[in-house]
Amino acid sequence: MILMIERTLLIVKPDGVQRGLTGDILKRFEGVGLKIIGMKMVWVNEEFAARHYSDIKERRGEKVFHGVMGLLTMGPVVAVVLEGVDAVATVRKICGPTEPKAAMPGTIRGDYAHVSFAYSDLVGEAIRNIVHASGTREEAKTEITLWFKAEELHDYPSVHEIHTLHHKASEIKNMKSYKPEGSVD
Amino acid sequence: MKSLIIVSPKAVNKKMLSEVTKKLEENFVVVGFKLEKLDINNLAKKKKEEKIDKKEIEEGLNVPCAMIVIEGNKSIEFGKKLRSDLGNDIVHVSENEEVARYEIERFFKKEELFEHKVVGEKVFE
Repeated sequence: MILMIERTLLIVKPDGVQRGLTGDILKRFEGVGLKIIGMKMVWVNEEFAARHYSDIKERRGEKVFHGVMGLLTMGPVVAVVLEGVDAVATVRKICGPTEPKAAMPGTIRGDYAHVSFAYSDLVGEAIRNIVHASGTREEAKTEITLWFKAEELHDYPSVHEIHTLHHKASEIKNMKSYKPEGSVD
Repeated sequence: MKSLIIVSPKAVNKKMLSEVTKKLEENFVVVGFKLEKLDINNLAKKKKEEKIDKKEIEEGLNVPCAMIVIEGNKSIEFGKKLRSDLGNDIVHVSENEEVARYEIERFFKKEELFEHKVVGEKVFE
């Protein structure tokens, strides 16, 4: 049961922070019972952003790389580490697909954005899609290590776990004895 | 004017962090934001005159709290209103301007605070 518990990185990007959407976004994750185990506001520089998007240049080309770099560095972001059952996939589901136009209502991108790739190509800007979420377990581990120090992540028992994770009270008390997938330490 | 709001471990556990965050960012610029476990020894030192139940506090501190620095007009007054709405076991707020300066300096490094603009009332500035 415990092996399925993963950690993943979610970033409320500058467009989300500047629009005041951080609380609304956090609410969705708190609601489903994912645990916020690390969180900080940080304004990253180009060098850091390039490390975060290290694979984008290869996958999507120079132009997209510069676009997303510009968006990530234009203001402070809120970086969040979430923990829960299949957290990586669950968080991606809640965020919706990369292109807001394709995102279903009810997802973060479907509720707070609507533009298409075609439109952002036309105006020559990277798509403003509010959040970033790790795509795979491996990516989550790399990204959490990049964004957070081990001492910035906090294991703690939550009163909701009896219901959201079916943890027995005794297991919750002994939580420190396991390390979820994606643990940095 | 800046002010510090601490969302208590109890509130984090009750999943009230998003609610408090939303109220703050609707009215102010959030310039600092982090999840942190408070240090029991630090707190005990500060409160040494008061009789505190160390075990109870230790249990509470097992859960992190969220520290939020807001900036804007009447941030202190807003904090106090929030405290009276939600309860003083849910949020701690800076009592006055001087205390706010002290608390922010105590809990935040300079590089953890960010001067930035958020979407305001005016379309163009």
